[in-house]
Amino acid sequence: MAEKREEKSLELVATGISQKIVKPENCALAIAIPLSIEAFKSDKDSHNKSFAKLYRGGWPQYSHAIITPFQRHMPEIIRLKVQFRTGLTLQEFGDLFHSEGIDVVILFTHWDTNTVEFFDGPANIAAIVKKVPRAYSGILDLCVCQQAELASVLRQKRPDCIIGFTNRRATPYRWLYFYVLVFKYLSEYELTYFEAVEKAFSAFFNARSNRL
Amino acid sequence: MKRLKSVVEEYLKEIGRLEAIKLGPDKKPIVTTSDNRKLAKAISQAARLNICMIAVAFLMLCALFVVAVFLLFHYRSNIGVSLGGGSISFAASFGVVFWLRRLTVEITLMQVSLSVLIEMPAEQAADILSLLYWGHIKSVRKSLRIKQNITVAGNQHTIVTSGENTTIRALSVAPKRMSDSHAVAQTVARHNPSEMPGPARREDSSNDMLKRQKMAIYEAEKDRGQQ
Repeated sequence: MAEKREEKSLELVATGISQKIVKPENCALAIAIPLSIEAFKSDKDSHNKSFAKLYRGGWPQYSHAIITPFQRHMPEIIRLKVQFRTGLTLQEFGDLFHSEGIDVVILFTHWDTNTVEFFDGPANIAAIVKKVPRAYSGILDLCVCQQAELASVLRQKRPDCIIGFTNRRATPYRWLYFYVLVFKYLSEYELTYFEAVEKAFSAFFNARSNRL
Repeated sequence: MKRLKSVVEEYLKEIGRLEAIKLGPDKKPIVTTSDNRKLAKAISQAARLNICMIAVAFLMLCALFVVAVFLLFHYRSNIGVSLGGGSISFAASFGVVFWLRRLTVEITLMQVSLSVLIEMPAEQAADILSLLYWGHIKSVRKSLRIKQNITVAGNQHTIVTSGENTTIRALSVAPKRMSDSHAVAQTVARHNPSEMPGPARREDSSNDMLKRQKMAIYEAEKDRGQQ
């Protein structure tokens, strides 16, 4: 039985979303970190949120590190017709999987040992897994929100869903550039999502080695 | 003049407070009292130097006054020389007064930082100095506050830009029609403060780097396609 399920899963990998040509409009960039001064201040005062509190220099530091890169790239993201959500709540995260035409969901948010921080507060692993439908066979990119436990539970409980994951902790502005590059590749070429990610990765690494 | 900005920047770099913050659990480095003692020493040295500068500036102001009075009385018969010399001295004293003002502000900030470092626990002092650095010391160019309301496919987008503080509100769903997206991109790009001061420089370079990289890949693939 398990073998059959594995075979089915492998088949899905071979013929399903991993082989599908994806366009930026099929990608959802789900952002749950604060993108306004009001949200930042409310997060800073909130007892159960931690991301805003990491910025000890206050709003000017946050604005420099987060808002400026977002503001700079937002026109490009809009131009590429990426489906993006800001101020993402857990409910809205779940709704993304039922949206028409969305093949890739990129979760762009802060995480902690046992929780992931959504706009309406932190959510535990079980609550997040519950929001991903059993039959969902798209890609959930957790390269920014690298909650290892979430990734492993999702891999077990939602075998049809492909989880993108890395082990290195993410710096928000770098990953924002990275995704803009991925969306540009998807827009300009006929690529699968992972081909675009690979191209963007190699562009990043080449750029870094050239700089070195 | 020794600036507080450079001294505090060095300290924040040393304690890892200027590194880019990563998503995930907080792994902040521990601040020790020896770090703070080192900074307090650097600040008091800088403050001493600035106090000397104030004395120099005050002496210069006095000298300018004496020169102006001398010119006025010695050449009182020659109105052109006395007026010209007087106005030059007057203009120069303005410069010195401006310098004195900056020195006074710097010294006040240094004294505040010193009392924070002496009176407070190391961690708290580092937090306050971070706030001071980002909020007051780090120069932020003030620009015109721009508020844009853009409606795309029935969704209201508001982008507010004021100096470095940019707020993106109610950005919900990407536009459906190409013409709309172009219109939005053009409108936003017009007010996109790409000429922002200091802090944006790092992003600029990475962005340019990516553009160059992308162009190189694109051209290589084009060549491959032609072959």
